[in-house]
Amino acid sequence: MTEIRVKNTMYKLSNFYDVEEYLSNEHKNGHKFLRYEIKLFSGYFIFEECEPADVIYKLDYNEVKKDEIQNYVVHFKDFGWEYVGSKGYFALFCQENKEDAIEDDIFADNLSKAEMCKRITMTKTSLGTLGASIFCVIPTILNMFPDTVRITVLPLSFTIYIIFMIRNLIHINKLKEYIDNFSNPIELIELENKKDKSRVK
Amino acid sequence: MDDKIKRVYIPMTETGFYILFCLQEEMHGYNIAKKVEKITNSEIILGAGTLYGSLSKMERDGLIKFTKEENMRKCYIITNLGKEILGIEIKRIERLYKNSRGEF
Repeated sequence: MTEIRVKNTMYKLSNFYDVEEYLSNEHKNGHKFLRYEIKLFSGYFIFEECEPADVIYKLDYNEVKKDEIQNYVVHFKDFGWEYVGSKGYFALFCQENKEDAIEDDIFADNLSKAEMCKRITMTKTSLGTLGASIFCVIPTILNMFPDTVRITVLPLSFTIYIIFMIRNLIHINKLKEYIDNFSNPIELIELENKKDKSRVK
Repeated sequence: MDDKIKRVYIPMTETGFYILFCLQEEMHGYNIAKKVEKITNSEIILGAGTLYGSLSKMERDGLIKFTKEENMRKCYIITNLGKEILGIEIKRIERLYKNSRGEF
């Protein structure tokens, strides 16, 4: 079976709901998703040819411990979801889109969907902070090297970091817009108030 | 009781309430979903993702605890802290119900 590789261009499929839709559409065109590979800063979707079918894909975002992955998979299987694979904290599930499908979404309500978006946003934000703190360390370490190394390495890594940060910010913003789209505004205000209160404490 | 836990869980979401309510009996995720579907006449359908996320969060916060594994399915039961939260929430819902019927 020949594999089809499709590059995930920089901003095209950055959010989980784009990916879900994309994989579903590809399956309708006879391309079954196999796995996602990351090589040299680019992501690749790997497909194989198959009979076209109507399949729903859903991504879940959870920190699942290694020894609990089996429980996690069985839990989703109970609800009719087949486990496709994981990348980081993302896990992909699929289910054939039949009329009597047990459920067509892994989330019962918008609030838990919003909570998943928040988990993603938090990881991205903490990654940014980590990156920033590394940048305080790098110049100190580089002081041990000759000037030529310093002049080339520092601007280069700084540029990479800035690009990474801008990408992250775009993702976070898109997620926030997405949450606003389906959330009950009053629930969101309540959530914000709760956060403010805990900050005061 | 920890004030922070109270702030996070009260008022509860409908799904959160039903999960905690069901766990007064020992149960695993899928059984919770089935039971909720039954007692709400299919008005509330819990998704796999919602349940997994809620159960992990409630376990972390000590509202429920892991009891045993049944064919790779994790069973949980409510803790004393969970019972306390559920009690406060039930009182709140009773007040809402009374007020909504014009009783004060």
